[in-house]
Amino acid sequence: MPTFRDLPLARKLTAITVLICGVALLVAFIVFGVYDRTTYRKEMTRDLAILADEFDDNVAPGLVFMDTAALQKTLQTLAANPHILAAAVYDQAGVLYASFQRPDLGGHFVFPVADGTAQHFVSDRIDTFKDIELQGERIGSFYVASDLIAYQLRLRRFATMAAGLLGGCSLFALFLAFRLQRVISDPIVALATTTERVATQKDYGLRAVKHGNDEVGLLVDGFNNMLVQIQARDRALHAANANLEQRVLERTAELAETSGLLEGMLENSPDLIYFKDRQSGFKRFSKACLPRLGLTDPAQLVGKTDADFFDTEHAQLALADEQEIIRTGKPIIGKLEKEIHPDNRVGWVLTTKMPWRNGAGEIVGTFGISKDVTAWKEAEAGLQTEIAERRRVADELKASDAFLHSLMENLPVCIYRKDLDGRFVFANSRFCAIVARPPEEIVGRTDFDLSPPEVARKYLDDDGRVIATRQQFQGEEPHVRPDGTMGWVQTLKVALLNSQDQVVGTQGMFWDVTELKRAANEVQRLNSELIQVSRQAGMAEIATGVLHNVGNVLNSVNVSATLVADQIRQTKAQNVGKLASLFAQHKTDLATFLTQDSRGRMIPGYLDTLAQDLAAERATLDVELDGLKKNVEHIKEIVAMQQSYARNSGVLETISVPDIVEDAVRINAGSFARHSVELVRDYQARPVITTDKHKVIQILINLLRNAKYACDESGRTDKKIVLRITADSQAVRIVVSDNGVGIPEENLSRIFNHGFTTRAHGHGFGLHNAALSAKQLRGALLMHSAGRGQGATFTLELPYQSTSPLHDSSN
Amino acid sequence: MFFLLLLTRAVQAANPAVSANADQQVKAAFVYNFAKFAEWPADRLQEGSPIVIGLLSAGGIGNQIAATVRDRQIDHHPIVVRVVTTPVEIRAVHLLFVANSDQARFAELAPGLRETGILTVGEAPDFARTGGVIGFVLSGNKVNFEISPEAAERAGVKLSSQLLKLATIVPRKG
Repeated sequence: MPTFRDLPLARKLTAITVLICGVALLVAFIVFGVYDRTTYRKEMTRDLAILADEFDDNVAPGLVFMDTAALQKTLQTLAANPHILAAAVYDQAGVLYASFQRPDLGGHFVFPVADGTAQHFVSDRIDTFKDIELQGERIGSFYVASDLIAYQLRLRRFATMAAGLLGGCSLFALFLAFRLQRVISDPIVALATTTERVATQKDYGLRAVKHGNDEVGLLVDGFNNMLVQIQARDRALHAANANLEQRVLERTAELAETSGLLEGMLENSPDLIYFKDRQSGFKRFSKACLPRLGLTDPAQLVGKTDADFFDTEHAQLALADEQEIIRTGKPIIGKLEKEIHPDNRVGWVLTTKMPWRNGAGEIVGTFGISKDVTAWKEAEAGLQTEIAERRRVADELKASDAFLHSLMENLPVCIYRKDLDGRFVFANSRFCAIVARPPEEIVGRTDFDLSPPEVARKYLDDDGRVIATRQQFQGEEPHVRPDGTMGWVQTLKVALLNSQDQVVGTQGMFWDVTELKRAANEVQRLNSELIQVSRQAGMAEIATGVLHNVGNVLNSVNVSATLVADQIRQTKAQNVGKLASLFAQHKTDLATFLTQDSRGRMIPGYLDTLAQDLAAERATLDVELDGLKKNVEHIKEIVAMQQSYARNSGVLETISVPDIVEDAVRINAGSFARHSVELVRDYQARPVITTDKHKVIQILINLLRNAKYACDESGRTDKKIVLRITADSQAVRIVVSDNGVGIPEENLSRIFNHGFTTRAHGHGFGLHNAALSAKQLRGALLMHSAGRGQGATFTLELPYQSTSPLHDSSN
Repeated sequence: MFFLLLLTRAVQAANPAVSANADQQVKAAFVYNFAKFAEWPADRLQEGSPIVIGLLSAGGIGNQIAATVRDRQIDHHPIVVRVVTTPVEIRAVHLLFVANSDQARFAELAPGLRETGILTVGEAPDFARTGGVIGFVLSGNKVNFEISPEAAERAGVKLSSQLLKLATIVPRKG
C-alpha cells in the first residue's frame, strides 16, 4: 500500500479537498449538537420546575390534613405525561407520605431520599425536588422524576440527519474536487513526464510545454532553461573527461610511487611507525611493531588499541595524548614514554605523534613514530643512581665530619696533628687552651716553639719512634701546666697514614691525669694502710686468743703454785727442827733421854712416822711441780705458735690441713667454751698442702669467729659449729658451717664487700680480706645460706695436688 | 409535627387507651391548620395583629391547642389562645373552639355569634349542621371534618377551596 506521500498528485488534491469538507461539516455538527443538548436540558428542567411548582400548592392541604387519598388522587394526574416516571410527597421529616409511579415500572422505582428544592440529572432520568410551603412554613417536599427518552429520541434523529448530510456533502465534494484538481495537476504531470523522459533518454534537447503563467508556468520555464545549460555543460564535460583520464593515469603512477615509499618504510623501519584512527585503533603500522607487541600476523593488530597490549596506565595516557592531538591538531614531539610490555618488561620509547589528515585536511586519526630508547634510559638511570649514591656518601661524610669535629671540640682531650717535620697542622680548641695560644699561632710551629727545649726534644724523639715503628705510643708524662705547676698527662701518639699506606705525620692526644694519679696514689696508700690495719687487727685477734689461752694455763699454774706454797708452809719438815733442838738440849744425856725420858722414848716412833709423812709430802709436791712444769711448757707452746703465725706472711710452707684447722680452733677454744658452742669435727681427708700458713689461719680464725657470733646472735641453746675437711684431685675444702642467724637473701651478694658488716662493732673488713686472701692463695671463699635463721656455710677452697702424701697425724 | 402525628396514629391503632389523647392532638393540629386556610375580613384582622383562638373553658383539648400553636405564626400573624366567657370577649376572637363539654354553653351563645366574623370549630357531632362552621367527625379511627359553607358565609369568614375539597360539605338549608 503506497503512503499518502507517494499517491499521484490528482488523488492527493481530491483527498485533501474531501477531507477538509468532511472535517468542517463534522465540527459544525458537533457544535450544533452540543448547543442543542444544552438548550434542550435547560428547557426540560424548566418545564419540570414549573410542574413541581404547580403541584406544590395542590398537595399542601392533603398533606396538612393527612388526607392520603386526596394526595394519591392529585399525584395520579401526572400519569397523563408519558415521560413522568414517578412522583412523591414527603412530609416535613422526609418520610414518604404519598407516591406515584408509572404503571410499566411495576412498582420497582426506588424513591430517593427527600431533598430541598433542587434538580439533578441521574443516569437516565432527571430528579426534581420542590419544598412544599404553607403560609410561609415548610411542611414537606414534592418529588417528580422524568425520563430522558424524549431527549434521546431527538438526539438519535439529529445523529441520523448529520450522518446523511455528511455522506451527501462528501460525495458532492469528491465529485467537484476530482473535476477541479486537474487545473493544477495536469501541467505538473506533463512537466514530470518530460523530466522523466529527459532522465531516461538523456536527451537534453527536449522541452516542456507551458500551460499558463502561474508558478507551474515559471517552473516549466526554469526547467527548460536548465536543460539549455545542462546541454552546454554536457558538451564541455565530454571534452574535459578526455583530458581527465590522462591526468588520472599520471596521478595513479605518482601515487603508486609514493605508496611504494611508504610501504618500503613501514616494511623496513626499525622504529615503530603507526597510523591510528580517531578511536586510536591501529590502521597501518611498520613491521617492527609486530615483534614489539608479541605478534606475528598484521591482522592481529589492525583495529586493536594500546589497551590490548599495554598496561592500563600507559594505554590511557597514550589515548589521552592522541585524543588531544585529534582535538587540537597540535603534534606531540619527542615525548619519553614508559611501556610495560605484556611480559612485564619495562621499556622506554621516544615518541612523536602527529595528526593524520585526509586529503580534505580533516583529522582522521593520528600517526606516530616511537624509537626504543630503553638502553639509553637505563644507562641514564644508572648514572642517576650513582649521582644519588655519591650525594648520600658526601652527606654521610659531612655528618661524620661534624660528628668528629664535635667530638674533638668537646672531649676533654687535647688533640693535634703534626707533619713529618714535627710542625703542627691541626690543634683542637682544648689544645689551644692548654698552650694558651690561638690556633693560628700553633699551626706551622713545632714543639720547640711551645715547650721548653728538653721537653720538646723528648716529644720529638717520641714522634720519631712512632713514625719509624708505626707503633702506638702511650704513656704518662710529666707536664708543665700553663699556670706553671707540674702535672701529669696521659699521652697517646699514633702514626698518620695516607691512602697509599705511607706515613705522613703523627696524631697525638693527651689529657690531664694529675688528679687521677693523685687519687690513685691516695687509694693505693689507703689500701695498704687498710691492709696493715687489718693485719694488725688479725694479729690482735690471734694475740687475744693466745693471751686468753695463756691466761687459762696461768690459772692452773697459779693453783699449782698456791698448792705447793701451802704444802710447803704446812710441811712436817719443821718438826725435824723441833727434834734437832730436843736433841741439842739433851746432848749430854741423849741416851738417858732416849731411853728414860717419856718424850725421848717416843722419838724413834715419831721419826718413823715423820719419815713417812715427808715421803708423802714430797710425792705430792713432785706431782704438783710436774703439772706446773707442764703448764709452763704449754704456755711456751702457745707463745711459740703465736710467734709462728705472727711472722711475716708470703712464705710458703708445707702444712697439714687438719693441724692448721686445729690451731685455729685452739686459738678460739676459750671463746667456744665460754659461749658453750659445740664443735663437731668431720675430717674426711687429711691433706698436706703447701701454702701461706699465715693467711690460711687468719681466714679460718675469721670464719670461726663469724660462726661463733652467728650462733651467739641466734640466741639458741644448741649452738653448733661443724668443721669439715674434704679433698679431691684439684682442691681441698675446709668447710665451716654454723646453725646461727644465717644471711638474708638481700645480703648474700654484698657479704664479701669491703665495709659490709652486720655486727655492731664490726669493721666490715674480715670477710672482704678473707676473700681477697683466698684469691691470693689461688683459691676461693664460697658462702651459702638458706636465709635468715637458717645458718650459714663458708667453704675455703685451696688448690691441691693429690699426689702429695696424706698427712698422717692423729689428734 | 407530622411525624409526631403519624406516630401517634400508629400507636392509636394499637392502644385504645391513648386514642382519646391522640385524637385531641390531631384535632388541635387541625384547628391550627384551619386558621391557615381561613381568611378573615380586613377589619377583623389587621396586618401583623395576632390571630386569637378562643376557648370557652380552660383545660382539656384547650391545653393541647395552646401547646400546638405556641411560637407559631400564620402569614406573619402571631397566634394567641385565650379562654373567653363573656360575649364581648367572645366577639374579639377570630376562631372559637367549642369542646364537647362546652357545647351547651355554645348553644346558648350561638345566635349572638352568627355574623361576627368568628370561625367556629366544634367537637360535638353535627356541630356544623347546627350553626357551627367546621365540625369534627370521627370515621372509624380517622378524624374527618364537616364544613358548613353557609355558616362560613354568614360569619364572613372565607375558607380556601382546597380545604373545602377535603371536607364533607354540609348542604345549605335554604
